[in-house]
Amino acid sequence: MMNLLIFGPLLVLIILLVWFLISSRLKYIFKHKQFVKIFLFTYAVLLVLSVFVYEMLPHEIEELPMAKVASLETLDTAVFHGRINEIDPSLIREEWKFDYSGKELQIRQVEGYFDGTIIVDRKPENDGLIEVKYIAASNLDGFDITDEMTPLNAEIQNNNLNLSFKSRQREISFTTYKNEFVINQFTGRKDQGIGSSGSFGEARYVFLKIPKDLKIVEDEDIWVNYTDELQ
Amino acid sequence: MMSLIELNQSDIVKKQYKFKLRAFFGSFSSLAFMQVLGLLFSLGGSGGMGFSSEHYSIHISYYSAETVLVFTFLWAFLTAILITARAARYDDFSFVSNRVSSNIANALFLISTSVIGGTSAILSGYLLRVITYFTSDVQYGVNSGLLVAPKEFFLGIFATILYVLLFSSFGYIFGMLVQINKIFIVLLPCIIIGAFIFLGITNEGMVKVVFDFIFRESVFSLFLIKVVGISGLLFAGATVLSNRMEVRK
Repeated sequence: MMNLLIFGPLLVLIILLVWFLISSRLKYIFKHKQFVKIFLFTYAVLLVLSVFVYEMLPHEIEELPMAKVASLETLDTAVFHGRINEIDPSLIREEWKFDYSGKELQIRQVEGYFDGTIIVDRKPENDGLIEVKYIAASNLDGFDITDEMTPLNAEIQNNNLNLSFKSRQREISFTTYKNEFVINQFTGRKDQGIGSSGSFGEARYVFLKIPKDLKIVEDEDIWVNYTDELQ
Repeated sequence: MMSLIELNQSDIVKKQYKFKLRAFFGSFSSLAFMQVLGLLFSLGGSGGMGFSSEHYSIHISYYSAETVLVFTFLWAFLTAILITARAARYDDFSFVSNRVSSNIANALFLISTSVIGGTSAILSGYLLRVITYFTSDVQYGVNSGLLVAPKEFFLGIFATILYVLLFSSFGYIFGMLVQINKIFIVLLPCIIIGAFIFLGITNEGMVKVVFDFIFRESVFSLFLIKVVGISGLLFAGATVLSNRMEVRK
């Protein structure tokens, strides 16, 4: 109701403007200074009014979150070298800890297909604890959209670490207002307009910290990387 | 017949400036028309990008007044060319004037149009937001507005005014060159576009430096100095060029 009250007068002004424009007298009308003056006055009033109407509209200002990592390569390097403390903690989407006394562990995909990377880091001691971290970042045109992406689940059953990744074809669309490039140029906010190339990038890792002597058995469609391979 | 009334330069400029405001009053309706057109184009989103894979189909759409801004820059460029046209220059002969006063009056007129064009272009962004608030399902916003972020609001207006002034001054010197010789109508776009393509291939860094000099300048005071400096040089250049033109036959 409130919306209609605010938008009503604006709508009338817009309709009047359009009516003047599309009227059959359009050809002659611009020759009349009086009309030009009315047209310009109406447009100017609309512009000034809209600044205040926009302020009055009931809206929750929620901005799309900015990307947490500017370069996914930096994240990749940190994870591959086991330097988890260097990455933004919010990128660790899930965390599990399992007490485990077995000699070997088989990693299996029980649901979906995980197209990320599995990295295993051996601890210096046998503490009987497996720590699993799911690290993910999805950047769309400088925005962080990780919340929209499919989560991962991990659980240990018998001697298996079961990963389920409920991937299915999903359509995700965002619409957002943005400041014009003439403002972003000075506020330092990343500009998605002039001179910027829009891009989509994502990185997903399952990072395992395992006891020193635990043997990892790979499932046939799973490739496991070890941090000590790089050292 | 000689006039016994002595007018100083500033009076002449003032009279010519007022005359130009009246004579080119129509340019403001073309500004409004261009901006309304820009707004209509922006109703469906002024930009966006998409990505599709086996798992996802992702799309992002933006709503902003950038299309209106581009239309306004184009209008400023064309309006500046228009006032250098022969008929407009001959109007100045109705006054007791010289080339310098005529050029100063033109520059003042273009500064006025830049203020009006730049301010209205930024305000049109709010009109777009009000319209799309009711017509589109826009999920996310930006923390902006006169009350929420007044600094950004005025920064946007001043920066746009400066951009419009820059395009006006380019249009003005372009128009003046064309008045000297019609061959510049073809030659200038060829030289500018050709230089960008040639340098883009052979020396990409140089094109970037030229582009970044204005479009990536993040300190407003420096941006102001650069734009005012370039515009001043272009107006001064146009004044020198106009002095080389033949007098009215």
